[in-house]
Amino acid sequence: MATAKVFEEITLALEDVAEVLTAVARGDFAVRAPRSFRGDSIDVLAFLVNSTAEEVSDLVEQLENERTELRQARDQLVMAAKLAALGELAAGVAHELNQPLTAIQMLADMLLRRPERKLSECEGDLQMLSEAARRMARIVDGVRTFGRPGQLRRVPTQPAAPLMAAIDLLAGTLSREGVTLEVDIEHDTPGIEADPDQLNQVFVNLLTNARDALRSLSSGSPRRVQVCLWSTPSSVAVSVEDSGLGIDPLDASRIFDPFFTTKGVGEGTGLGLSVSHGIVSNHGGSLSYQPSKDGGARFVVVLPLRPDGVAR
Amino acid sequence: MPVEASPSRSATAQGRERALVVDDDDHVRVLVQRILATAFAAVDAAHNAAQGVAALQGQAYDVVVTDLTMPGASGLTVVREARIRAPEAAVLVITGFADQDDEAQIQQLGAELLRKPFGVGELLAAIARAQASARLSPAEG
Repeated sequence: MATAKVFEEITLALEDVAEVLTAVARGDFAVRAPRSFRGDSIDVLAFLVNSTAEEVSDLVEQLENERTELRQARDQLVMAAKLAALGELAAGVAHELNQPLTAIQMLADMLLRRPERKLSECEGDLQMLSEAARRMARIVDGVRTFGRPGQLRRVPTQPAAPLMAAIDLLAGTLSREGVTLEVDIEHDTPGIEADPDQLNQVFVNLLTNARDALRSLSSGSPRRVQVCLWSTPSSVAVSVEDSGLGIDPLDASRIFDPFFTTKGVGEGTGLGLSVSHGIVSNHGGSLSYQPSKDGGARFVVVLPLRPDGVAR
Repeated sequence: MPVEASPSRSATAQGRERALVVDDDDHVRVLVQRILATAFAAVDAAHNAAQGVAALQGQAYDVVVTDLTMPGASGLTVVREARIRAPEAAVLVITGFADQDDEAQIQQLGAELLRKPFGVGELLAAIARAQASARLSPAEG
């Protein structure tokens, strides 16, 4: 009889232990085994399993804190990388804004100098004014969205829009560095469900990398960046190709790793491609690298079409 | 090309003179060409430095207005060619961005610099300055 009681006590104690361990396994660290405080083996077992649960709870909390800190540090780095890139873009942006601004100022002067002209005679000039103002708005929009961090916010998007904004943002810098930019964009592709701000960031990163790749060329070499956008029945693809020296085959497998960079100290954060890869993956798409036929770098972003293929 | 009448036919108004405009920005090029057409007998336009250099090799110009930053060769190539082909020409560099090196080179080549954005009055005044300095000290070819 006594043996049966002991057996029952042991069974109950093991059930209590199992309950604590099951709770720990599902992330609930509040469950404890009851203690008799008799100091016998069963009580010691309950004490040990409770201590273990507490220790696991502390470790998990510590891990979560560290993970939060790491995530915050990474977000800060991404932001710092974006701001650094933006600072570097400033000169190019100023150049790019000054073109339409010159057109606006000259057109306004011309219109003011000829007050007798009828509005209908000025239609061409007003059209040009409007185009120049819109171009400035696109550039400003590009700067604004590039500097803004944020959650993935998918809306019906025409993929050419964030790409054009990125091109507008970089065109000045590329031009200033003697780079010929060739753009072949299919504007009436079906729409996709995407976050245009984040896609803009991807395209800015790819164009910035292309620009940086061309900086290392000797002075006589042709500097060319080719941007294409095309659609297939199931996706939209964007390629960014440069006439640089391409990526060393030994490095090619690591270019999407966070903090991997071939740029000099202080020049690159090694986050651009890794962040871009993450953004494209979050969109259900792919970002891949292959050398171009001329030996330069070619990056291709493929984004799936949304089912109904309609964009606002 | 429609001709925009200019009420202030100042120092730039030279009846038989020929001008060249080099700028890759379509709006700016067309507008500068329109303004110059009010002051010069003929105004030619080029979209990039290579075209500008080719124009200078085929024709004598009294005034050359060139953008600095263009795809391919920079506007300084146009300025150098102008100095070889037409040492007495007035040369004006218009730019949305010029660093100290650019400024020094422009000055060394005896050209005037006008920063974008600018209006009609500023453009005409800068051309007048370029003409005045070209008359005073024609650059050496």
